[in-house]
Amino acid sequence: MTKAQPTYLTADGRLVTLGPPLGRGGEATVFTVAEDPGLAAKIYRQAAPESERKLAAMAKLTNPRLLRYTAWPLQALYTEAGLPAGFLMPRVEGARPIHLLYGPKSRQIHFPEATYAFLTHVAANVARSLAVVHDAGHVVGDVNHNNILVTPAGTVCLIDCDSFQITAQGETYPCHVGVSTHLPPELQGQSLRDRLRTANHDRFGLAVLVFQMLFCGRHPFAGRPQSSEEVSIERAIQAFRFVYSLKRPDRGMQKPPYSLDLTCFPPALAEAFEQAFSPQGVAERPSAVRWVKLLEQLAQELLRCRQKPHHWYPPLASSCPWCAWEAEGVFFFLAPQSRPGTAWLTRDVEAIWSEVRQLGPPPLELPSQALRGPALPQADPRFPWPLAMAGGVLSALASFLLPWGWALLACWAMGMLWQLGRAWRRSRRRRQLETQLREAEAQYAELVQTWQRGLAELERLKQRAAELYRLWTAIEKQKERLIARAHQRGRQLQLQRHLQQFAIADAHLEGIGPSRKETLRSFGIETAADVTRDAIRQVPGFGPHLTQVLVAWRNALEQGFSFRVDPAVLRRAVESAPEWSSLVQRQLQLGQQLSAIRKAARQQVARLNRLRADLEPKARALMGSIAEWRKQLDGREGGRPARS
Amino acid sequence: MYPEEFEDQKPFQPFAMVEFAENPEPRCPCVLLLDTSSSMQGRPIQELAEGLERLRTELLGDAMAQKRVEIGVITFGPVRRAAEFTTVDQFEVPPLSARGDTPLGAAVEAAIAMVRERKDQYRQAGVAYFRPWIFLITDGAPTDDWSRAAEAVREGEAGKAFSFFAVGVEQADMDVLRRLSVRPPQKLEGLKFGQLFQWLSSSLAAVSHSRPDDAVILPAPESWTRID
Repeated sequence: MTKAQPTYLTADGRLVTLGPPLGRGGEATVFTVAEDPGLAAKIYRQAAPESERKLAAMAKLTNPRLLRYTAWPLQALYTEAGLPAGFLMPRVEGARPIHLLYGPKSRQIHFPEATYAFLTHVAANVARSLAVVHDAGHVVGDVNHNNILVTPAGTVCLIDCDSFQITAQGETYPCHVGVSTHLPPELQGQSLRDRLRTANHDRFGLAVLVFQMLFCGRHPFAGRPQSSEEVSIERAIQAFRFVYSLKRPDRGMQKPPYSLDLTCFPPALAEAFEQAFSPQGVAERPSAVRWVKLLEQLAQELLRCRQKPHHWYPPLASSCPWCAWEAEGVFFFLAPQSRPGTAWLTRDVEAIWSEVRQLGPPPLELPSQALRGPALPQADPRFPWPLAMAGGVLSALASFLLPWGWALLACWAMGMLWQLGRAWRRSRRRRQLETQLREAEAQYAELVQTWQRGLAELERLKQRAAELYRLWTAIEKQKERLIARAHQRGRQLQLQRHLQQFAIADAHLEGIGPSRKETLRSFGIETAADVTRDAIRQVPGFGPHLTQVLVAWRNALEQGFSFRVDPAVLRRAVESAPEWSSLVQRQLQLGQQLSAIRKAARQQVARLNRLRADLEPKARALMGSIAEWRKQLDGREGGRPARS
Repeated sequence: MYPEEFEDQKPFQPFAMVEFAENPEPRCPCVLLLDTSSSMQGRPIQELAEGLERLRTELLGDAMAQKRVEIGVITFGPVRRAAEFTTVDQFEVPPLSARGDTPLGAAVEAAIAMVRERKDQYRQAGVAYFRPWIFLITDGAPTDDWSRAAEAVREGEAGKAFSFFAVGVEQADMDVLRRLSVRPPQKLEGLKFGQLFQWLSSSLAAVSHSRPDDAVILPAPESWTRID
């Protein structure tokens, strides 16, 4: 039924079966776990030998507080040969890398509802997550935009915890990695191998991320260079050239256009950025806890725009910056009505569908011969009445004819009694066994039916999901057609405009002189855009040859045209189509239904797994008794053939 | 050269900075310099267009590369900017038609100019960038003087202004490519444009995930190259 999935073992011998993969990184792939939908397994392509001890140490350090903020390793996993393979961790659902939130463009797709207040809230949660790790005595090391995940509810989870620098029982397990845009100046250009990392290093990365959250994805060290020099982010970090600094006038870089000023923020928060990015920061930067306080404070003080209630902005800005920039065509936060009506992306729906489709518990493993066993012999073999009767008649005759005949008769009577008694006991025992056997078999059938009912329920959910997915893709096709039509119209318009640039009056056309051109003009044919075979056929004096000349001219001009899609224009055109919003609405519903079905299906798989754990031992016990009783029954009646 | 007192004139681009405000990620620009001379007619040009489509879809699969990699297209001959630089999510494969000769020198110079222009925009917009790539694909021998272009490529590579890659298709003059490109040119096996662009996509994705001034180890190009 299900194909064999790779399995691994935990240190205490528990079997872990991999389900569909959730994601793939440079060194490992993360899988779902068939036994428990709440877990994920990270399997290395090549497990580093030192990882085993580190993971085992980390598993021991697990605590509920860490688990609220991180995908902390719960148990190391081994291959069946006992080699380290990866680890089990809590599964994080529906969360996305933080860069998809702080980048304005990707935010509109992945977090369309997010306001500046949401960003501030999430930034504080990022600081909380680091504070928790630091408090436990560890260092994240590789703080970056890809390994902090954000849920739609605004909570965060640190992933890739196996790369953290861990300190346990006096031993330190190092962190070898880092992303340069989030590394402090003291680590820039240095080898990270075996370098002792500190919480103060993490605080730099945290300050960069908080900055990116509050400044709409801008990096604190990327600006407009004022000379022709090429300044990379790394070199700017090393030289402490914090572009937004109010204290360092000698940065050589200006703030980028459409970016906030540090002066928009409460002085304490501005000062924290200055401190984190300054030479003094090398000794000490604002701690994660400090950032939590500052960001909580900021969240309290945010202002709300009077014109557009979805615009929240920093407290010391003179007016709503988002409104001002919208007037110039830069949209940082989408108004509720103009948000792409669906938070359900095709990719999400595909992922849900492919997960549901593959959901299924490992099959129930039962000894199957029981149900195919030989049919029970229907009844007792008959008592040999004719023989007994014949014996009776003979011994009765003998008792008359022979002197000691009565003794023969008595022997016969005793023999009869003994035989009858034995037959009676045997048939009682047999009835007993038969009853037990029938009951056991009924119980067994009941177990199998329970299992099959569970499977059928899962199957029903899957069929429903298939139906929903089919509807979804049908709508997707309709949307694609609308987009293609808008695209085509846009192309047509642009082509028209392109061709309108070429006046017939200015063109060198073989056999078409000024007077013929004048004739064309009087028929409204003035530019290449007006040239069609049908239009020219109406003009007197233009036969097939001249028509061909004009059409060829137009076609040559058309060759030089290249279509430039303006995504904003295209989107407006698509969204103004009357059927668009109903399609989007319908997809929204379908997406929600599909996601609900996935939840139900996952629960059903978990239920089946529990059921199996309960059923298998019971079924095995029943099967044992059934086989034993059957043997006993067969032994009495069918013993002879077995012996022969 | 230009007078020092004022900047050179620029096209009116009122919204040029908008895209960088909406997506301030560091950029990883790549110009595809495509030979569309008449010898590419038929299957080669068709495979090339399909390869471009593959590049687009592969890069779309990587959320970070999608925000960082920018594709621009120049076709020759005649030399034409078929697509200005855009991030992958907005990149549309331009229509390609095979005609004309092979003005390789002019095309290379146009690509270098396009890259320089884009870098200026990045600097104006205050976004960081990776070293740009110029990726030449050609199937013939140049029909113009390419010595100045070769000089510009050497200078650009030495000054780390860009990386120049050359790929020869079918009967391409590999000797010219060797003299033009500082890096050893590659020869495409048959018409394996699909594999070529898949390689390009994973290389660009790798670059876009690296540090802006890092040396990136590119995947081996064996799936599409031929060693003569």
